Amino acid sequence: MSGFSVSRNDDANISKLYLSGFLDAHTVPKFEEALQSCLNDEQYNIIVNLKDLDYISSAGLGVFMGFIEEIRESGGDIKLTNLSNKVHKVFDLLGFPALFEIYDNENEANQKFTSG
Amino acid sequence: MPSKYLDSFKERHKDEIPSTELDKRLLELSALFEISQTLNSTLNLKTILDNILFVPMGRMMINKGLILFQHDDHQFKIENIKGLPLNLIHKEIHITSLPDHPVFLKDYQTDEDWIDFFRNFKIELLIPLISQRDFRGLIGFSGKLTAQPFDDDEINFLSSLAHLAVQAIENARTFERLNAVNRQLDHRVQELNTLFEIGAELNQIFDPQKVLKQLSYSLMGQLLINQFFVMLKDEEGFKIAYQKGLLFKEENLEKCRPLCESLPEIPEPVVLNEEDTYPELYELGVRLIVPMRIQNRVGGFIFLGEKVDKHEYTRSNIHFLSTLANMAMISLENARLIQETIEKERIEEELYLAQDIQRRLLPTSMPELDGYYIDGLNIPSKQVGGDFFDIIHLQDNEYLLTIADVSGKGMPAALLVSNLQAGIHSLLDSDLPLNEMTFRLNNLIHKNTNIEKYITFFILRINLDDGTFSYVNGGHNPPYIFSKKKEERTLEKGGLILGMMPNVSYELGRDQLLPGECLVMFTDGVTEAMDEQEHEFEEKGLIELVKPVINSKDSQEINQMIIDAIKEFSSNPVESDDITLLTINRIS
Repeated sequence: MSGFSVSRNDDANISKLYLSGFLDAHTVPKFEEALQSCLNDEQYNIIVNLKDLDYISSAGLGVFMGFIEEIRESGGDIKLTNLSNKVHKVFDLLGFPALFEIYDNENEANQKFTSG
Repeated sequence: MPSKYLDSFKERHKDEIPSTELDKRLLELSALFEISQTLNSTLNLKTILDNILFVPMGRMMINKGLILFQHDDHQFKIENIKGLPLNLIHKEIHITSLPDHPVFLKDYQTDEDWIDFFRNFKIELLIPLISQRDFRGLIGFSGKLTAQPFDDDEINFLSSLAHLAVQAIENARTFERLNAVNRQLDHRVQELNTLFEIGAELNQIFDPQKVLKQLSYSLMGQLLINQFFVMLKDEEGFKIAYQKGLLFKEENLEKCRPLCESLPEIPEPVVLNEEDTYPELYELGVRLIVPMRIQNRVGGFIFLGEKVDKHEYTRSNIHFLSTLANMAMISLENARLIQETIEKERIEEELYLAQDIQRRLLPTSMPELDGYYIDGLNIPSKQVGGDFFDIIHLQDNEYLLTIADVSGKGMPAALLVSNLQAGIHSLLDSDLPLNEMTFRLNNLIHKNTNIEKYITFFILRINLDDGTFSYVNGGHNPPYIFSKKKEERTLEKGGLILGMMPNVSYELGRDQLLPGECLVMFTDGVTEAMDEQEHEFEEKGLIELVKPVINSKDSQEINQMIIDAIKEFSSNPVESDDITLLTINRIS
């Protein structure tokens, strides 16, 4: 079973989550916990950096879907950065680019948060 | 390249054709050559259409153009426009008859809608796009800015262009379709992967909430849904088992719960629309109901709201959801069965412990008494009924006999018996009269238990020298004294059952067991044993049975005889209640 880990780094009013490894049905609870901890700390501006994410399954995308409504209701957003081609393909296939902002790097996402 | 070729062509044939005419022809040829190259070098439909319009527009100074594709009998859809309002894109037009060669609108004598439509937008020339296969389309151009009419050469040029275009358009459309199919296939593979993954995951989960969570992740991720709830059916009906999204608030769901009860067991997913038979659910935001099936029955429903991207649920989506729902249902059912097994094992373990406690509280052997037979017997029921008896040697020739039946079953009953026994033993040293002792036991039991817990209790203190005894009956089935010469008598003095209310006083009864008499104490498991017609054994049965044999059998034999009689009377006497007997007879 391949591993998955998530680390968090808060920068002013933006929380950054770094995912690495395999995000699938088995490992989604970890990611869910991480997002929930952001919400518990009332951090609603969240950048999820997928640079080191090797694989994402539909269940992994499900976590994004499960949180986005509450986060946007609270005036925040989840922005995604640094998607590998393989990961981007899954996002694209399931129609996520229409619902989530996806950026090449953290700086762009950061600017969106600070200017928006 | 082409111009070089054309230049040399012109050089070689300059004597045969007048030069101006030739120039024009060559220019047309070169344009066709150019466009044919462009059209065949791309599979991008938009680039192709742009070129088909721009090339003639540039060459002939036309300022408006459009291209339509046929998609149904006479239905045409605008695919590309130049110099026309953008909102025309994808507009549908009904064209009654597609021309088979280039035509001028002015040549049409009729006023059909589609002709008016083109005239309104100043379109003058129509060129059909007709492939050898089934593709049909139409190019339309406005007049030239120079206001010059189109000459035959120009019409020929546009016709040739249309021929070239048809092939390129067909290729591009095939390519687009192929891409769409590929994407669909990718999507399907992703769906299968998701099902495969969740299947593997669900096999490892036995907690219903975790099962529902997995279901939730997979359907949210795969289908862009974040508004849904799950109702599961148990013995009492439908219950909200899981809910996601702000649309389906709990109070709304509560309102719709009775509605779910009345849903017939729909075997297949149902897409709701406004005219549907479930307007209340539609009102609530439900757009799709997916039954969760397990072996031919429906164990629950998933109610889904609109997809986040507002797209309709496709057949493939619904198929996926249905499979997912059924997989989750099987997993939920497995989780339930495992919980049930664990619970059953726990109850069995508890009953075993309760039986063990009860057994330890009963005397293990009967004392040998001079001039008396004494025997106590307890057959515990499967559920451990909480019967109790005890024989305690006090001093000299004095014995304390007690029999009791505690309310309830299982472990709580066993613990209360234990409490009672401890109470009796702790009061022995104080040498109180039985009514005083019972008074204290009652207060003790009342203090230690709630109102539903009580004990029917009988206690007797006998002096074996002369058979005199005192007793208190706290609401217990009155014991019988059987006598050869006299009528049998019952021991009823005492008071209320123990544990009901505090500070109740008890009356002390006195009597004497004469030689040849037999005292039988018993619990209601004896008299309430039932035959198949639900008749009880009753006291009558006991009297008729015991009275004739009091001088011919000892107490153990009498007890065994009663048990045998009850077993014969009732097919399963100890199914629900213990049977307890405590018999003492004085030898004549």
